[in-house]
This record gives sequence, structure tokens and C-alpha cells, in this order.
Amino acid sequence: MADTVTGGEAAEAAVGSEAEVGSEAAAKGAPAKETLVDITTIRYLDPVSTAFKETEGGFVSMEAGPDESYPRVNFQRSFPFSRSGEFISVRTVEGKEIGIIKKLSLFASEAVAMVGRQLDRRYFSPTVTKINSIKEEFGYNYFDVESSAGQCRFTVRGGHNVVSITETRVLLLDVDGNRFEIPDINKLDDRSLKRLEMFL
Amino acid sequence: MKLLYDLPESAMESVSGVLNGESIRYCVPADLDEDNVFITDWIALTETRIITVKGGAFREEIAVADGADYKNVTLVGNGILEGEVNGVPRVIARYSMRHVPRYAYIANILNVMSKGRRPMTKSADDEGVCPKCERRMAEGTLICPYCTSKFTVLKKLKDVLSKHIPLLLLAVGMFWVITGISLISPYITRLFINEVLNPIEPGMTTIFGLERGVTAVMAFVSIMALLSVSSSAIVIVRGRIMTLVGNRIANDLRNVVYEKIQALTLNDMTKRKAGDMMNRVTRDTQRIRDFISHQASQGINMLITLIGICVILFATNWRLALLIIVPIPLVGLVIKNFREKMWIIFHKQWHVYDDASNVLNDILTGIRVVKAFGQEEKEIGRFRKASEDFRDISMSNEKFFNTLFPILNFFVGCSQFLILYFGGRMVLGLEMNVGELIQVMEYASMLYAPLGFMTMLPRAIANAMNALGRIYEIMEVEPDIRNADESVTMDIKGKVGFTNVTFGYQSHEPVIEEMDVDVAEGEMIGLVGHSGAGKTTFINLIMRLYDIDDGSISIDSVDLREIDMNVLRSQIGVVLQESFLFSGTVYQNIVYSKRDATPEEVIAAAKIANAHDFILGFPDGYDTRVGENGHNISGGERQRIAIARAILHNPRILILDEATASLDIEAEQQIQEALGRLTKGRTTFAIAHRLSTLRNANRIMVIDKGRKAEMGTHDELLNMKGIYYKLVMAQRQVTRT
Repeated sequence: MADTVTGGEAAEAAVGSEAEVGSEAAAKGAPAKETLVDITTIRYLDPVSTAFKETEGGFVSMEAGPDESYPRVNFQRSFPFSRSGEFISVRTVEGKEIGIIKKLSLFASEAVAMVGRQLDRRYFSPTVTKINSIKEEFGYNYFDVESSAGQCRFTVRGGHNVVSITETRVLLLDVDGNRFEIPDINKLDDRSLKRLEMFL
Repeated sequence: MKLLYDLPESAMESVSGVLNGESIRYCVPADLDEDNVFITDWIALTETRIITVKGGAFREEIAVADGADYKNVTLVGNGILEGEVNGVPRVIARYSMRHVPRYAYIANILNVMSKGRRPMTKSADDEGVCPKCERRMAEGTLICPYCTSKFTVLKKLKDVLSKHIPLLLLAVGMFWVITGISLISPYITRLFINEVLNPIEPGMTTIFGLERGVTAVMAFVSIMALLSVSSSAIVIVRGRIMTLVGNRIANDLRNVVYEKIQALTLNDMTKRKAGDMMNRVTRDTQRIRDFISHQASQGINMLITLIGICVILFATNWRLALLIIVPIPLVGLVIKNFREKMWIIFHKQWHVYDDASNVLNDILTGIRVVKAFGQEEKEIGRFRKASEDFRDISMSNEKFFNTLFPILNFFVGCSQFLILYFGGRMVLGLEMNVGELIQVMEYASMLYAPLGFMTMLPRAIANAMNALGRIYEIMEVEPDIRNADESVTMDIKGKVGFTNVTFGYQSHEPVIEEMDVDVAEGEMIGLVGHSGAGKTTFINLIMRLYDIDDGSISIDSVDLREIDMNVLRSQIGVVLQESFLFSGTVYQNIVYSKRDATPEEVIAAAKIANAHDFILGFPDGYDTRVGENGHNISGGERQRIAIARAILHNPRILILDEATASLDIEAEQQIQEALGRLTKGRTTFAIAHRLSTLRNANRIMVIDKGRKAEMGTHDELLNMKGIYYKLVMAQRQVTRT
């Protein structure tokens, strides 16, 4: 079924279908105008017929149909910041895309948990809950924070590594490539916010 | 790379029971668990096993030989060590990004061990970590910004500052004189009032033995005028000296920083932003100049004034002095707090202004795209929004300042009322005379300027020190590619050899792997492969823009690292896909590779490059200005000027990186012809996506995923029916369609 239907439940019903796009429209007697989605092939994985299973070694295997199985698959978000639970690319170990999970929440709860764990492993950015101190020396900012992963001290080079993703969401990138996230700066306590204010 | 950490005592006790006579050869932290919490677990490698330590105690052992294909996988914000243990792929350890390079080594070691070999990798010091505070330091720096004292930074710059010390001392001396004059003025006012204007004791002579009257008035006015004139004259001379010194220091600093930047390697440069480097050369040196010529010099002045006033006030009338001094800390505190807030307010305003500028810059530089997609309306809206944001924040800030300062001034001035009240009562009670009161009031009014200045000084010092620190940080970088102690100077013939070369821009991610290539003198090698396969990296290594991680590269059988870098690069010529022309004339751009070239040589080079005729077509010929804001020349013309530059250079090794990729067929033919002449008799490496441009190549090397996949003549490779064959067939099909 093509996922070109727009609006309400129709779109909801179309989510996750995996046939070649455009075919249904063609069968009904060609649409007036082809959309981009009609002329490309995006394979959305069907929440019903796709099965995930955790492997012994801590990875995930996938069966996408009776004759199609993969001993290990990897998951990558297409929009890690803006749509973290949607458009998740499922790929082979070699990096070839098998298909896309259009909306993870439409899958069975075990699958959601399983894929969620793999995504949590792949995208690790502890949430900063409190900023104990920021000391600036020679263009390096030494952060001491409380985070979802515990207390951390890390070094951020220059102000450009404090990235505002939205007006209230901030990402801190340290000199090693670690990421720390503040989902909503307004939820920080006053002192923490004041310390961060210089970078915003 | 540190690969052998000491296990904590309790963990060691727990592990020692399972060592069975083996020793721990490598031991690294695994600092992240599956629940995304930082922990202090460990992975230890003995002669035959992997031992994991969890929660401070032995957890598991894996026989290395039972596993294969060990890998460090870099994820987003963390990494995992995985391997196929007994045929099952599994996660062995998880860690933060800090340990990713370490695990790249560990994975290699495990793969060597799993094949029954003994790993030779040795643990070294933990680089990039300050031994004192254990904080991470940026790559390439030898200093920890956190632990470096500002004084050390100043000491490092003493070479730049020392030659200006005599002038600085002279300026400081002048400050003393100016301060002295300003301090003496209220005292003279007091004498003038008490001894010249005082109506109580008529007929009395003044301090200078003058009769009270017009002459005495004239004498005092003359003294005051003389002091004022002298003070102004000294201020002018002092100002000129400080401007001179400040600019000289800034100039010296700029040159020192710029020379250092030029000495940095491409590797160092690519880790930094061009804008950041420019800021260090221009803005940071300017800040230091401003600090030296304004804040530092005025600070000395203000400090002396402050101390002087306090001493005189207490000597004149200690009770009134107390009245003045007591509110000072309070006023200082208020000013300081407001300054903090002001700084944040200004910072936000700059930020919004930057945003608006960036939007404008985006729209103007991308105007072709904007117009092509008909997005003018949207872009107008985007700029309007940014501009309105700036308007709003400016208005709100200015409202704040326009309210704050009058109120602040009123409170600062309040102590004047106190002095007037209590001083007035003292005068009426004959405890004090009018002259003394006016003197005290003048000193009190002089007190608030240095006070306000002092509250601003810590931030000014911090800013200047940070600027100094950023400059210092550049000066401390040790270039990662250096000439050998006894580097070789030689005339290169052009034989190039790669032996087991491995290289990665980050050592844990190899871009070139185990590459073996031998190229004879004068041979032309075509380099083909997919984007990102490692072609450009390969030629960067020949130019020694980066040093390899393993193996060796030789030129005429001499190791590349032994050859003097200037000698090497002066004998290698490069033509890139997008040739960069500097602002200047066509002539200047051609002679860039050989400064002492004669006009005849330049014309000859241009003729060989098929450039002479079009250059003469310009009204200004070889004197035509090119580069930014210069004559608009086409890509093909630009390319031919670049070839002329390479020809004039007369290199023994020539590198063509997609030199004709962006040109039309006719321009390409002309350039191919020019290149044909250029490559004759020179060892040439040519990267090309359009395979037809490699028809002159003696051999073709296909690079795939950093490895030499195929190498041979065009015919040999076609017969192999491998990657090259597929590429040729694919291109033929495209040409046909």
C-alpha cells in the first residue's frame, strides 16, 4: 500500500506498509499528479509482519517476512533530534538499508523496548540535570554537571560547541566527542541556567 | 596511548584468583554500562584471555582464541568493543568517547592474539590528559589551560613585551605626574579660598607672601592654569606613547601568532576553524593592545589616585573621610552586580546581532539559490524576524540602561549631600574652614571615577588574559609534522614507494590500509575509486601533509620523513579541481610557485598551459587582477593559470587532483593537451572520475575502502573484470544514454 494518503486515520493505516509505492494509485487509474513519494521506493517495515528478536550477544535480529531474515540488524535515526521515534532506518551490519520504521510506537511493545535499547546504546547523550560549575580558561570551558549518567566533568572547546538545537534545547559537545543534552533549559534551576546563560 | 592501567586494589585481588600464572598485559577502563550510566569497570587482557571486571570484582573471562573479528565500533557519543565469540557476535565492553582510540588498539591487539601471534603494541603515557588535574587537553597542546597560571602566560610573552618596557615605564612615570597634578589641584583650590578669598582676616598675606587682592588672584589662577596646561600636555604625550607601544605590541603579537599558524600542519589546521584562527590573529591581539593602552595604564593611574585621595582625605578630616569611605564597598558591590547583569545583557544583544548578520550573510551569499527557488518572500520574512528580534532586545536593553544609570548616579552622588550637611555643620561650628570643605568635596567627587573603573577592571583583566591565553595556546602547539634532526636535501628524480602504509586522520579510523605501491621515475599513475575511497588522502601522504601511522613512504628510496619538507614540497607540483587564485594579478598568481621567475619564463609557462592567448585577451593582459573582487574569469581559465603556476614550478612529481573535472569538453581538451606537456617525464599521480582523462596513464590504481584493490595498465584491468571494468562499463553506458 502506498503511503501517500494524507490526513487522520487514513495516514495512520498506511503507516508501516511495505509494498512498492505508487502501485495502488496506479491500479485505481493513475493519479492526476505524481508526488515524489510515488516515484521513489521507500520500504516501510510493517509493524505486524516484522519481528525483532534479541540475540545472545546483545544485538537484534529481524524477520521481515517468511523468507526474509537477518541475523543482526542495526538501527539509525533519520532525525535524531526532531523525530527520534520516527523514520528509523534498519540496516544490515554492512550498512545496507533494509527498510525504515516509520513510527516505532506502532510496533508491539516488546519490539519498541528492544529497538529502544539498541537506539539508547547507539545514541548516548546523558541529560544534564544540574550545572555545578563552568570555568572558562583560555577558550576552554570546564563543565562540572550532574547528569542522568552520574556526575561528570568534561571540557568543551569554545562557545560553538554549545549548540542550540531549538530555543530551549541545548547540546554540549566535549573535546572527546561525548555529547550531553539539556532537553529544556527552562527546567534547569536558576543557578544552573545563569551559569549556562553566557553560551546561549 | 595508555593501554595498561593499574586495576584498583580490590579488583586486583578479585582477579588474581583467576590469572592462573598469567599476567595482565593490557588493562583499560570500560566506563559505560548498558543502562547508560558511567561506571568504573575494566577490561584486562592476559596472554590468552579477556578478563572483565564489573563493580570492582571479577565478572567473566573469554578465551581470545575463541573469538574473532574484534572491532571497536564508534557509535554516537560512545563506543563498543564487539567480537564473534564462539561464532556469536557480542558486545564485550562499552565506553565513552574518551576511550574510543584506546579500544581501536585493543581490538587490533585481540585480532593479532586470536591468530596466535604475540602483539607488539606497547602502552605509553596517557596523552591529552593533564597529569595534574587529569582533565582532557586539546590535541596538539602541551599545556593544560585549567592548570596554567596567567603569570606563566605573561612570562611566555616576555620576549614580545620586553623591548617595549622602557617606553612603558616612561608612560607610567607620566601617569605619576598627571596623578600628582590632579591630586594637588583641590589643595590649591583650598588655599585659594582660605587665603585669597577669605573675608574674615583682611590684610593678611597669602601663602606666597602676596597681598590679598587681584595680584594674588592672578597668581593662583596662573598656577592653576599652568598645572592644567602641563597636565594636558603630559596627557597628550602619554597618550601618544601608549598608542605607539600598544600598536607595536599588537603588531609584534600578530606577527608571532601568524608565523606560528603558518608553521602548523594541515592536520593542526583542519582541527581548527579558519574564523577562530583569524580571530586570534586580529581580535585577540587587538584586545591585548586595548588592555595595555587603556585598561592597564589607566588602572595604574586610577589605583594611585584612589590611594592618594584616601591618604589626603584622612589627613584633612578623618571624620568626613570615614563618611565618604564607608559607602564605597556598598556602591562598589552594586556597580559590580549590575556590571555582571550588563555583561549578560550585552552578550545576548551581540548574539542576536550575530544571528541577524548570519541570516543576512546566508541570504546574500546564497542569493542564486534563493532566486532559483523563488524564496525571496520567505527570506525577507526570515531577515525581518531576525531584525525585529534585534530591535526588541536593543530597545529593552537601552530602556534598562537609561533607567539604571541616572538612578545609580543619584545614589553615588548621595554621599555628596552627607558631606555637605556634616561638613557645613563643621564649618558653622568653626571646626573646619570653607576651603577645607570644598577640598574634601572635590576629592570625594574624584573618588568615584577610579572606583567605578576598578569594578570593571577584573573583567577587563580576565578578557585580556583570555585573549592572551588563546594566543598562547596557538604558540604552544607543537606541529605534528617536523623535519628530522638531520633531514636530507636532495634533487628528487621521482621514484615513489609505499610499503605497508596505514594512515587515518584519527588513528582509530584508518583511511589508507596496508598499502604497497611502487612507482617508477617518470611514470604516470591514474588513481580511481569511489568517493571517500582514499584517493586524495593517498596524494596528501605523498606531499607529507600528514604523517603515516604505520609502514613507510619513500622517494628515490629515501624515507619521506628524512627529506627536508621544503625541499620535498618545492619539487612537487599540484593542480586541484578548484584552483585557488590569490587576490592579485595573473602574473603574481603564476609566479607564486617561483618568486624569481623572469617574464620570459612566465610567458613560456602560460603558453605550455594554453593560457597565454586568453590572458592576452584581457585588456590588462598579465596585469589583470583576479581573485576576490577581481576580473571574473571562467573555471577553465582559472585552471590553466593554475597549470601555468605548476609548470613554472618545474616539479619532479606532479599531482593532479580532479584537475579537469569541473570543465566543459572544449576547455578540458585544451587542458588535457597542456597536461600532456606538463606530465612528460615527470612522475604523475592523477585522480579522475572521468576515466577517459587517464588515457595517458602508464598504470591505473584502483583504491577501494583505503586499500589497493587493483593495479595495472588499462587493458590489464579491463581483462581482470573487477572494479575498474565495472567503472568503465558504467561510464560507457552513461555516455551512450
